[in-house]
Amino acid sequence: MNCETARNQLIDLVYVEGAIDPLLQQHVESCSDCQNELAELTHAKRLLECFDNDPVESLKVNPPGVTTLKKEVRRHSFWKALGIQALAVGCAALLGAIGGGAFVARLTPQPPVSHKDQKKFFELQQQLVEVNKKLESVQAAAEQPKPTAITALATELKEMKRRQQEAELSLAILRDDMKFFGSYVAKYTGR
Amino acid sequence: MTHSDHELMLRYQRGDENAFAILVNRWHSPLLRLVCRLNGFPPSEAEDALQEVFLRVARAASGYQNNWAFSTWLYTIALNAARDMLRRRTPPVAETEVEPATTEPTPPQRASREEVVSLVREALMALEPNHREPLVLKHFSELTFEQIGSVLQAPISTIKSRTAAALKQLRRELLLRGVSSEEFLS
Repeated sequence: MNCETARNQLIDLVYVEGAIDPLLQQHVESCSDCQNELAELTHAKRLLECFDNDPVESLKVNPPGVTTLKKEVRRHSFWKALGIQALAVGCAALLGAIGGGAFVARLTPQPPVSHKDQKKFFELQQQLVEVNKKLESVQAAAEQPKPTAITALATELKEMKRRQQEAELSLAILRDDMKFFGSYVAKYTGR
Repeated sequence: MTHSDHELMLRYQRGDENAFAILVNRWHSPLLRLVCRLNGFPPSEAEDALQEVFLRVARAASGYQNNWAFSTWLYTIALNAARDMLRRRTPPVAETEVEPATTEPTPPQRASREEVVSLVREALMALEPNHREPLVLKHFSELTFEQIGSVLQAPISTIKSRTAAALKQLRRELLLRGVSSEEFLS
């Protein structure tokens, strides 16, 4: 062990905690510089021992204020509890407001399906009828023995079928909407 | 039957104030020593200082956790309280140089025991806080270097080197004030 390492560990010889490194002991026994360093630290430690007779060491402070502390602790607990209660009340109020709002919103009748929607429904129905008619005529034409027109007719047929599907889908959606509206009105108006 | 500090703390967390009173009785002397040595308080101010420490402990009690070492937790709170008290007590002033004593103290001039204590306290307060704290925790609170490392959140090697530096500096501060260790320790 060299002096630098030893000096970093000298404090272990001043304040002994458990076993001391034998290498450190050996080094200090054989090195006068480290012995001087250790002596300086030990002297300083002994200086602090003058406090052994200091009033603070022998001061019998009656738990200065267990009573006061209890009051303070109670006060602290009270405010803490109050804080928790306030938080709980706040949360409950918030939840109540949300729940109440949702309930009121549920009771409020939704605006009925507009006149515009009804008009659209009839338009779509008419379109569907027309499409069906056209489709029938296209199918009839396709059955005719006119080979040159077959390709064009087949394309038109395909387009007609697509439009038919679209119209049926739109109609189904609208029917569903109106069915729901009907049951809704019946429920809340008794009609 | 003696309850451990940890057990008492858990009881206090459940609302048992008597458990806290037992902790106060058990720990008031060690904490008093710590705060007075760290801050150089005279005994007359000790009671207020101690009360502040325990109030902080009471307030922090809800945050105490099962896996913590009680003494480390307690000393950490006390140390923080002591730092705050010191900040409030002494407004920052420009450091004053201590004139080195020109003559060796002769027996008639020799300081009384009380005066020496006062000078050592003064020298201790002249140390840098980061040197004074590990020294006080080691010498007066008798914590292990490992515990001090936990309280001050520093590696053990740093704590050891700071403690050694504090001791050396303390001796120099006392020599500057004309206190020779051989003189009054003999």
